[in-house]
Amino acid sequence: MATNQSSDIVLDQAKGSLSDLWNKEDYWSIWLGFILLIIGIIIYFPLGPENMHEKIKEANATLAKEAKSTPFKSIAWYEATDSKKKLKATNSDIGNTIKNFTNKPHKWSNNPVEAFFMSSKAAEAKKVQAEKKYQEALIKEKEALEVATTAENIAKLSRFNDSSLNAAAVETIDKWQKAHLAASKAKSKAKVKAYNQIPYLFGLMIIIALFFGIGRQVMNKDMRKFLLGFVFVFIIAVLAYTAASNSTMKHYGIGYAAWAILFGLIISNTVGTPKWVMPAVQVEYYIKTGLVLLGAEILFGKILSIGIPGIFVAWVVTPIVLVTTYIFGQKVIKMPSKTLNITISADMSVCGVSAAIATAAACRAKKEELTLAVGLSLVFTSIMMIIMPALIKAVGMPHVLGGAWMGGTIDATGAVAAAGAFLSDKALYVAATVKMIQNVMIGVIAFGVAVYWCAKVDCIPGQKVSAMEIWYRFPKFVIGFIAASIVFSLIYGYMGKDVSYAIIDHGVIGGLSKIGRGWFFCLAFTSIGLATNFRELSHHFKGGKPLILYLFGQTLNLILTLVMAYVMFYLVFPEITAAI
Amino acid sequence: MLLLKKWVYLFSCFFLIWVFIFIIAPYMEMLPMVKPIAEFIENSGIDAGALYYTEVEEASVAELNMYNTVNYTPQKR
Repeated sequence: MATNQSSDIVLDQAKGSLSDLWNKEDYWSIWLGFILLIIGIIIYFPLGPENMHEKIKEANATLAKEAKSTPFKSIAWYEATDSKKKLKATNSDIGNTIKNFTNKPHKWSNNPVEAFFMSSKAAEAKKVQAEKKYQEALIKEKEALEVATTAENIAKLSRFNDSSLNAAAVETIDKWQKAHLAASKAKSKAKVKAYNQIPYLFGLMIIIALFFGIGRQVMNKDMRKFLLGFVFVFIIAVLAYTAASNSTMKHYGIGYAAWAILFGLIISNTVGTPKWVMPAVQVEYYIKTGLVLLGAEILFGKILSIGIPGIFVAWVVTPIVLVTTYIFGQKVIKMPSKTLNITISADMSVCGVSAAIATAAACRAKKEELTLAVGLSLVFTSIMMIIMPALIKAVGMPHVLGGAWMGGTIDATGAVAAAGAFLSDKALYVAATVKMIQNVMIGVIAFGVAVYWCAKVDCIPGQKVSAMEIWYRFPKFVIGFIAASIVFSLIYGYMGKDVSYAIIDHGVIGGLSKIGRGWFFCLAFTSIGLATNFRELSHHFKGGKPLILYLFGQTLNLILTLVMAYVMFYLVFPEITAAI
Repeated sequence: MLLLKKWVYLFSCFFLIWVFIFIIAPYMEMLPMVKPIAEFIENSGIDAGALYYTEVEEASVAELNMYNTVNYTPQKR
């Protein structure tokens, strides 16, 4: 592409050729992403749990029967839901092998060595303690179940016509569910095993290095230089995961993205990133491949999970906030960079870091701009995760409303789940589902931003851009991203929710593509840090305009989401709210 | 000398990170507003730093529950 004097504007026609398919990074990210997805399908599609279809049929029959005969969610209703929850392809031998091999550093508290190694003696000591707590939790669950069963039977004797007996049954069933969840958590903690993650991490480093190295070699780059530099980048990425797995950092929701950028920044702005590392500092290569994998997780059928209220809160409010914030940024704050503006607007209104990554890549934002957007999102996510549930409790807001509010406004899903669960199961279910529906919107946003940027932004004012020109300029990896989303959404819809839960959610995605995506994004953020000059970064923050933009957008988001959630869940669809 | 200064800066930065992880952050967790949710996250095991819904097991459970609620809604009397 030719450029005029301003580097922000692109002139003339771009050209493409067939050799782009193996010479351009965008296409390599598509090939690599799809290779991984196809491997996931080959592994997990045949691995549906034993008698999966029969178990699903039986559970759904129970759910249908209970829904007809009992005016509240009965014990049998919950047990049928539980039986479906257990159907996961990742519970297979190969699923567990992949999980162990690709594991990140383990959770640790005071001794970082625990992130990589736990002796049999230490594991046994932890297991004994955890097993004791599990047995106690199990007894409490059994007692709660007995009480709930008695209350439900008493309500049944009056044919569920006595509202006070029904209310008593609901209350005891809720208590049983809490005890059941606590017992499940205790059971997981009791499955402590000794581990030594170092050999696995070494093996994983080699596999990922070769995975990306092949593309680098074909694109006429020196694979040996890439492999050498990759060792350094991978080690920093592992350190980022290590910091993120510290238990105190988990309490604040400070994840790997922040640490990867920070460690990279520290190295590049003190001793400097060594020259031999630079061939492996490939931000776009890692991010684009990760985004193609993310495409498979954007499943359009999920937007119906909570019915129309969820769609309105997540898919109507979000684009309004996004566009309004962008326009405010351009016209009022006069942000110097459109790409920074749209990246911040997207990460604040949609779903934080993952939206920032997709949008920044779609509009070709600078890495410093992505860093800034990610930093703002992570800081405010931690703050809102702490403040919002406290505020909801203090004002006595109903938990369905509070959950929808948090789901639509707190940026990261982990923080949303923590804040929702802190309030109640109800708040968690609504919050996490609303957030998930918002997550799915990334696909539409990324595509829309890519088209808008090619057609309107990256051109001289008044220049008419032909469809072919838009194609040439279009970031090609977005095609892989959207294609993965469409293909998997179609497969998901064809197979039905329950089977897809077992072999896609907890198979291809949970057992492989999500794992790869996590590592690739961590490598990308590490690379961003290693390639960023702190002065360039601080230059983008001058005047505090990004912060003002974020605050404006998030304030608008908080107000609109609350209003929409109230209207949808309490005025228009109160029957859905009553059923939750 | 300049190289030495750079290494001093590097180790100083990592020292500050150490101070944040082991001193400042744990101290802030004792604040009344932070303590309850910090304890909850510790006990529940929720990954509060997870970025996308597929990384949070609770989101998967929530979705299944919501799906069943919408599709198998108990009939009120």
